Amino acid sequence: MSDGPNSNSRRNFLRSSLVLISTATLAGEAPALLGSARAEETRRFLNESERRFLLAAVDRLIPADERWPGAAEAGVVNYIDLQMAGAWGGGEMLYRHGPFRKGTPTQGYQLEYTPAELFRRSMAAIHSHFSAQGKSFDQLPPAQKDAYLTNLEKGGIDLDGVPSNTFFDFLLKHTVEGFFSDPIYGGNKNKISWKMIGFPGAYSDYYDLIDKHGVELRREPMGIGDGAASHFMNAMRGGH
Amino acid sequence: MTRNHILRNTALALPFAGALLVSFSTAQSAATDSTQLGAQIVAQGTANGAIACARCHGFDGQADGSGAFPKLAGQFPQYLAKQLRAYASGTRQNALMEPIAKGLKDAEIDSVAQYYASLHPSTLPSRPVAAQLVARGEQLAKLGDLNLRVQACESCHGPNGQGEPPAVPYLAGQYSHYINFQIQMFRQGIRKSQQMQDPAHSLREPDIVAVAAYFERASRNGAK
Amino acid sequence: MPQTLKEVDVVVIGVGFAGSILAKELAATGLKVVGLERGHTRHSVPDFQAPAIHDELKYSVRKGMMQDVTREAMTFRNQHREVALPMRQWEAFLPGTGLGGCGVHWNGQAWRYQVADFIYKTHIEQRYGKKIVDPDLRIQDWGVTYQELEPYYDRFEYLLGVCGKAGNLNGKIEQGGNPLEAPRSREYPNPPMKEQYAGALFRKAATDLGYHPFLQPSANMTRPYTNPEGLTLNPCVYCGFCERYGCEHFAKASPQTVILPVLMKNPNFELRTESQVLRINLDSSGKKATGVNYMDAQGREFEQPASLVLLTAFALNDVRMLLLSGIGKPYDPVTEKGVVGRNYAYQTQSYVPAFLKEDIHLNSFMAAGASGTVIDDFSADNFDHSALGFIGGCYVLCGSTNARPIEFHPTPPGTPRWGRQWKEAVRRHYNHTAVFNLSGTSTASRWNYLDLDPTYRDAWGLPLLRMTFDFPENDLRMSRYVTNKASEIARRMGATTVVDEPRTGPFTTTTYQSTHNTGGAIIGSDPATSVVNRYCQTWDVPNVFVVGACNYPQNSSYNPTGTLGALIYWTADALKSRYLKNPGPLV
Repeated sequence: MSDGPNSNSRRNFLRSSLVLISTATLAGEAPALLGSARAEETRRFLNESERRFLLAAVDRLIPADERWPGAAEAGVVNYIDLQMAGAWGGGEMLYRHGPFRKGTPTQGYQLEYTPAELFRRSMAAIHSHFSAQGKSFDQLPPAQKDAYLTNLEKGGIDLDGVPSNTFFDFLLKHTVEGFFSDPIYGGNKNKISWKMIGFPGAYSDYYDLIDKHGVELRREPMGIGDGAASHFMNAMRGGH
Repeated sequence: MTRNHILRNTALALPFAGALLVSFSTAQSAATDSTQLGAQIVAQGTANGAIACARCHGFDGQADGSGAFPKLAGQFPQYLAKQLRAYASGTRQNALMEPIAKGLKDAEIDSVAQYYASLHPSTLPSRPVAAQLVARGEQLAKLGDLNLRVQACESCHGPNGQGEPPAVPYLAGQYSHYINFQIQMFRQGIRKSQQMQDPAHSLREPDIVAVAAYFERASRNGAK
Repeated sequence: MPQTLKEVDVVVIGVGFAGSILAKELAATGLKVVGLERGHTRHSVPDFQAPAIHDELKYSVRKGMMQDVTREAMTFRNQHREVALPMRQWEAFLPGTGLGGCGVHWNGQAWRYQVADFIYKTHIEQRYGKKIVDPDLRIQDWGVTYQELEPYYDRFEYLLGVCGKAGNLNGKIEQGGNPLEAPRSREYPNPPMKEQYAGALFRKAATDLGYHPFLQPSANMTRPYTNPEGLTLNPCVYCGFCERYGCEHFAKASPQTVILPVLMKNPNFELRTESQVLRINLDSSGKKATGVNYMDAQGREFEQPASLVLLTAFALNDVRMLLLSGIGKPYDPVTEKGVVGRNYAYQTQSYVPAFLKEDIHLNSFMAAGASGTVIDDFSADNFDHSALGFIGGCYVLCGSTNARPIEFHPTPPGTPRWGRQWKEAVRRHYNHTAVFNLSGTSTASRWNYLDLDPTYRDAWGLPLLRMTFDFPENDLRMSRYVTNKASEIARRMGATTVVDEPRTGPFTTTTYQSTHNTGGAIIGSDPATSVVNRYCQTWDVPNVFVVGACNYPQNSSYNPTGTLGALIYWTADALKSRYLKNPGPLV
């Protein structure tokens, strides 16, 4: 039975549930929402200096504020570590036959590097740049970090074959992915980004709610890994 | 006659026996006025013909374990309120619940719903059943069945059947007898739901028993 | 040395909507049909089940259901004089693969074209004169009319269970539907979808401005539905994971839900997956196909002889297959001779983000693939272009198909791309921003075409398809006009910020726009300017039929699948009632 937008049940629904809060509290101290970030680092791909750089860089791209944690706390560095170590880093869904030529902007990515190669090259070049000055990115004050990142973003710097704006866009893209993707990928710890914006997550049946216009839906987001036997699904599919 | 049989065959439910006093904790920090009013109605009923809910559903929302009456503890308040209104209007047919729901005013419906929603359900031990039955239920719950063209129950009923608040009720820990009965009601078109209509129809009888058995034993908070 | 298999009556290349339906129709007459699908088999259970299917990273961002470019990509250039380079990653459009094809991961937006679209050249010239058509544009009539296709539109819509309200029933305008739609002979099989909040706000503003909003026709079910093949679909729950995803609920019309179970039961039909067709074989005359050669997953090559070959592998792949097989003369834009590859077109998309106040909770994540409220007042030739200096138009759609956060986190103009301000803007605007989607005509042009790349090859050593395309100036003028009109509606909705963002050139492969690639094997009355006749039969090789959006001489404002469905059943009819009785050219 579908109700019209002004039906009695809609008014009652609104009256009883204008703000729906589930059993878990959603607001609170930003750090408390996540527990300790460093405790569970993945170690598949990144070396120490890459990890240090990334922690500092993603922290500028999506910083923590008074209310909400940022990319560093959300585990985005773990996300990047796992992605670079996996099939994506290795070049899945990438046409890698030559010849390689520089193209027009509309022709998109034309470098011969896989994501992992692109990342490693760029990081090595950045590391050399800072080492040569006896510095490291993570030790710079915030304003200087931002200035450095902005400079990369502008382009014009060659990171051992990778234009710096290509690397910067790559870094930003992966940071956003790691911040907003399902926590099974290592980022978005405790679904913090979903809580921030109000996205309910992977479990989604809105048949009864879609025409209840204006209801402020706040519930604990639910992710793919929440069902205890997600291994059950993998087993049924033959493990992939 | 078993106690359950008597309950099902009489219009009057026996009062909930105090012998099984189960302590509960509220999930939210403090009882609201609405919840307190709800508690009162649950315990005493109303002057307008609403029998005390506790008589069948228990003051703790655990009902009597028979499965004739559903566990209400921790169910989503919007879902509970919607069902009460559906009983009152006749949209959902039930000879027992209809006069009760009609005997509740609008605000009382919300209060009763708030009260039961605030309770923490306990998991009572289940009767032993064949492991294959629960396994089949789990398969249907998490994967569905291609030949039957039935999707995974949990795609709507949430991880481990804990529901998708506010609209889709939890099944985890719900009495298997009750789940079985409701699917039969959907199957026969007595209880109407666009989303349940075809799945209820497509599941075979043993499958219904299986999913009911699985969900009764599912832990509401999941194993982490 | 390829192994030669036992001959069959029909080979179907690509088992998506077109392949499944044609295979089913022909197998039902008693013919032996083999369906060759390059991708994997997949079914609603277990492959599309939630929550695993609701994985934005895997399916939206990493293109989990799409053609594997490590093996088979395409090259691209904007201009004929440039060097085409590979599209090394999919972005602008996403060709699918696998059993069911795009029908698995489409949105379900189920439209018909307008009457005038099928006689576009005649109509435009009659209404406005030839001068309104820019010199490089190449619009053509189809050679088959809307009236002829109407019963087949109807058949496809009832197969899918399309949900909507008729606006024009046999010429009579009906309340609640689209008053501008082409006449239909009967009501939709199911009622329209529920209206989203953004759609309701749009409806009010559009009505105030004198337009005619209606609910978009949808192949996501609004109630349980049993189709004429006896298959039952469930109602959609507006989960917001439609395009790029399979549907866990059996609610989206796809080959898996509307026809494949019936097809698979017929012993006359054999499905072979992971079978990459390399070419259609011709006899020494070059006028008769003898079958196809394909390679299986182990790298073994087979020759499958057949009397009839149906090419239904998606528009771009169809054109490539014709070129690789030497069927039809390849098009040369310089001489304008040849036909295969000409009239490639696309969909001219634009967006109008409307940022609303923070107390308006749109909940755009509650969405079906084809939910949304739309106006047709500025589509196709539905409005008078006399004083405007362009042809074509867009429908204006407001609602959402999703609010998946990696893909959707709008921020107003002036917001930095990263940092504290960006994050705050994302938080502030995520659930309070409506985005209009304008879907526009794509006018064929002399210089937009498909051919084989001279340099780059696929994993089987065959040349990649090369795309030469940029938006014609006409289409950019059109986009500016309609986007501006749409922005007025957004302002009327009370948006605090409206972004009037028409499509601009050049066409870039780096951001998603649409997978409505059309043309390249176009339908027509004249073999000098078309590849197939009005029955989708190739002029050159009468026992090869090509059915796909590659048949479209130009693309109208509307999503192509509905019209393709009509062509599929129209062709099935021609095959069964005419071709099989007397194989040979039908025209």
